[in-house]
Amino acid sequence: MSLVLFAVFFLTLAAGLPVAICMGVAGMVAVLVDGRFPALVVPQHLFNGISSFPLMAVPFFVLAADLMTACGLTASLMRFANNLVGHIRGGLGHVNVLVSMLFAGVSGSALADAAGPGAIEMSMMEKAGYDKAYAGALSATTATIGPIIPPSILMVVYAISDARVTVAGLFLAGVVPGVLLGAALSATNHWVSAKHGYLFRASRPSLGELGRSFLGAVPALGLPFIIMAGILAGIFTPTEAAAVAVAYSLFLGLLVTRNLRWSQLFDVLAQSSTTSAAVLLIVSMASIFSWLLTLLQVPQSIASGISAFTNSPAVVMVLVALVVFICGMVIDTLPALIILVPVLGPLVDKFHLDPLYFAMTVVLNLTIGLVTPPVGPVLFVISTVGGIRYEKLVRAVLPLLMAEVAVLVLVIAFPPISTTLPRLLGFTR
Amino acid sequence: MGGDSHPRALGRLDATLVGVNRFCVGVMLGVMFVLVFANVVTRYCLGFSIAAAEEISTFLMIWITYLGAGLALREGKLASIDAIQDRLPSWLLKTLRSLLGLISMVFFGLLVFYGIRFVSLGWSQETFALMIPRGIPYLVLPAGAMLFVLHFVLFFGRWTRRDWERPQAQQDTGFTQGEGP
Repeated sequence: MSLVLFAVFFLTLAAGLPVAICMGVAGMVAVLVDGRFPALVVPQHLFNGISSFPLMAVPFFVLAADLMTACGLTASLMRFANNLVGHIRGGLGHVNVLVSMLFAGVSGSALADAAGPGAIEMSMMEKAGYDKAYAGALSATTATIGPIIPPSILMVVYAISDARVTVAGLFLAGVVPGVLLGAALSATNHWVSAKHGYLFRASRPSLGELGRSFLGAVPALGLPFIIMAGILAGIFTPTEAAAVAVAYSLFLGLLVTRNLRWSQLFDVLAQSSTTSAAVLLIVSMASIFSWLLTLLQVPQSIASGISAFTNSPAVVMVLVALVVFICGMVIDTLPALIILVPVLGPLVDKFHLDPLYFAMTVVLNLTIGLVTPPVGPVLFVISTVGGIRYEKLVRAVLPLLMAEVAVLVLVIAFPPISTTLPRLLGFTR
Repeated sequence: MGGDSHPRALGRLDATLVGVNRFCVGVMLGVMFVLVFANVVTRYCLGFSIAAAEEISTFLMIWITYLGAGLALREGKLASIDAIQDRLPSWLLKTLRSLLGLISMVFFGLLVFYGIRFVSLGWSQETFALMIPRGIPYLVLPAGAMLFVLHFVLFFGRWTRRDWERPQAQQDTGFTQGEGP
């Protein structure tokens, strides 16, 4: 049965069937071929897999982000970032990094972030005179910051698939690694810009202009603050916080900035619901897939296989990092996460690892895997969207990738980077 | 068999289907938001929350997922790995994508079949809060799978060409207006 499951999954995946459908088809075929279970388990798992109140944070975060963009709040955020760092060396590159950090892509798909905001940032940099391949490479790598910095759909789904961690704990664990990632990319951008002479200085904005653009960005900057404060203070559950974020964006768009018209509202709702459907379909289909993995005792055999090989937690973490990295190189973050968490989870108990530290390593690994050649799905998206030759893009991405891997090594080598903040605020289990 | 060679009536049917479908999932998301937000407000202001609202909104999310899947397909939002496809000559690409399309339709067809049995099984049980037959929320599986197949049939030609639908112009970020260096 496991042979059928994996053969169908990897064949259809390589052939380019959408990941969600691959998991469903593989699950269905495995159940039918095996014959021990009625095929009724398939619809049952598809339904129950997403029958979850916490999961509702996903569509609400998507809606809040779409509303922010429709209200022009995203634009004011970009304007502020540009006024803040646009005039220094490699300025637009830093803007690219900063915007990815501030507006940490809530879509939960690094692929979607690369195709959407990433493509916009790329064309901005190209217009300003940056080398196209470098602009694309930077946009690809900054798309990986989103899932690390809260609020992050990836973390919500992680916490749903692993009872050892909470959403609040994961959100906090991601703050320092996310900032480190941003700093590392900025530093690399500075170095590359110096080497290639990317000067294109915009005139330094006057203090008044900077202040005005800051005021314009305050409402947008307030959003993650409200979400985090509400969750950390125990006022809201993550789902409620996400609903409050929607209400906040609606309030701003309809009453404060007044950029959102009622007629537009419907388009935004329809757009957000199809985006959410795409994300949730993966979660739904993955539930039949991961149920079969558990049934086949794949997680247990991997855990015991590794423990037969070593009993050092450090070696285990390196092994995990390698496995996850390879997965990230071929599959988008969310499906990879849903498949890997139940499979690798038992290792946390077996080797007494900190679950938050483990989670951060897995998430960071996956997202970096997405921009790692030779496969690197995000690189393919950027090369398609931007019309950049893949080989050129790969060459441009290498220094940025080195910086990200350096951060990853730091996070793996020093657990306190991810665990200190949640521990200080009391969000560990 | 491409979308551009559709007879006009079929094209109209196609557009109507997409419009109605978008309207339905959009309204569902709106209702879902109102229910959850109302629960937050009543909990903190009045000290109670409505269990039925929680249940309805969870069901709505599942309905959005399966009724919105076909739209996500049309807009190219269903993530896939195209590394191999990108390297194929166009005739082979079309053949492969036609095959993948058929596989998807068979899978969702099976889902309609087993989904109906799932609904009839759930008809005798009740949900926790609303006390309605579980088969009612379960209906979305056969209905959504059928809708997905319908979208797939109408979209098949464009699916083989990866010619995705763009429901509206890309949101203007406003950034390019005189801000660039």
